Amino acid sequence: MSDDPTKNTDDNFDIDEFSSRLVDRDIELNDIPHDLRDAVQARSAQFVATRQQLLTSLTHVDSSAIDDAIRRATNDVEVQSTSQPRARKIGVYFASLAAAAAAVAIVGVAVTQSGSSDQSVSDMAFSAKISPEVAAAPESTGAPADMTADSFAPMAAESTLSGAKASLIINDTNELQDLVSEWSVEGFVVPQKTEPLCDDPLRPAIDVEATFAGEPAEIHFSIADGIVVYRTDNCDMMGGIVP
Amino acid sequence: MTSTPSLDSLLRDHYSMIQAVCRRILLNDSDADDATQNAMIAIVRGYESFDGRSAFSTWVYRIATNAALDELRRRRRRPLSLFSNDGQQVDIADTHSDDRQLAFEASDYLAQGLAQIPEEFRVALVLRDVADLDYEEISQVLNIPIGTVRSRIARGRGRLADILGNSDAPHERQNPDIGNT
Repeated sequence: MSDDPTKNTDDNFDIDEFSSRLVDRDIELNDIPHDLRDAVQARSAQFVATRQQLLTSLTHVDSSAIDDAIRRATNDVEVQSTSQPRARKIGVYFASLAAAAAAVAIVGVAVTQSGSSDQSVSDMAFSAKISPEVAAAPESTGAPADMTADSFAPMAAESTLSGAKASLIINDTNELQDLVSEWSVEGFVVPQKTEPLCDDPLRPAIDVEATFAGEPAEIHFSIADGIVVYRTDNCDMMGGIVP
Repeated sequence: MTSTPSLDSLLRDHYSMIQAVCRRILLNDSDADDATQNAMIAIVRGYESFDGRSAFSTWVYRIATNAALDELRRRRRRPLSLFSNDGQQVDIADTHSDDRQLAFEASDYLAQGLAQIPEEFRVALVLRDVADLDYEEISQVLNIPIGTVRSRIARGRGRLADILGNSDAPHERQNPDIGNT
């Protein structure tokens, strides 16, 4: 272990945490134990210097570049809004996930054994990830060609899963994380099941016909408590991402 | 017309910072520009449904952060053809290859320093020190508890200070002089 009291190691993480909070005025110097104050002040000075470097390194953006970015953004949205009903965007999203599942099937990955670990599922799905071209293929929607399922997360800001019950095919925990990101966006309304199959007091069941790693599944989700996937046959937990 | 004058004004006010956040998270100008544009599209698209439950800037940075993280995931899925200075190919199966690529591509010493920080720390640090979001706002953007926000920022700052301190003035780290930075 180093003698340097400002060095960032787990052993003196308290100093970094105190220093960081002091820089942010989340605490006062008086809140810090006397014996740590010198080290904390020295470390805080380093943090302030680093912050200054980060801020002064920002490049100036000229107004023509901003004009162009705004014009392209508004034009893109206008093109999409005139070429497709909103519901079809979600349709493409689910279609792309379905295509991803098909790709998994094509490469012969058997992920339905109950012994499959998340890691193995993840690894297998990685090799079978849907290509951008496939993602854009289901319907000529005008969506940008490079939009994968991930890219639809921002769309959630204006979308719901209303209407006919959607089907959702998930291959791995990365895609679960994508769902969490998408469903956590403010304004996104996730329909809930009125009669869930599996009991989860923290997370309501989401009203979609879900398949996880090839098995019928029930998804439970809340922004505060994360997402958990249960096998519908026996309500065993198949995967999840929780805080 | 989708863009109202007020939206146009808001986009202008936030564009530079959206781009800065994306650049400091992605550490690659081209990818950052893509993420910035995707964020702009998402903001325009979602503006009418913005319900005001959080500050507009918080909502904007959440979208920008998600766009940057989406771009990171997309980059991980791209085949890498990365060669070091001695001509050796970096193993694409190496779990650290993404970090190596970041460090390889980073255009300035700050970016190279940020590239050596784990993504989760880097994102929290950027939202605090570049976007100037407070702990509560970062908690909302990243959907993590405030305690975790504090911890990630502190660790990110610690790592970056050590990296920059080691590269700049290795013998003066215990006596930093802000005025000289």
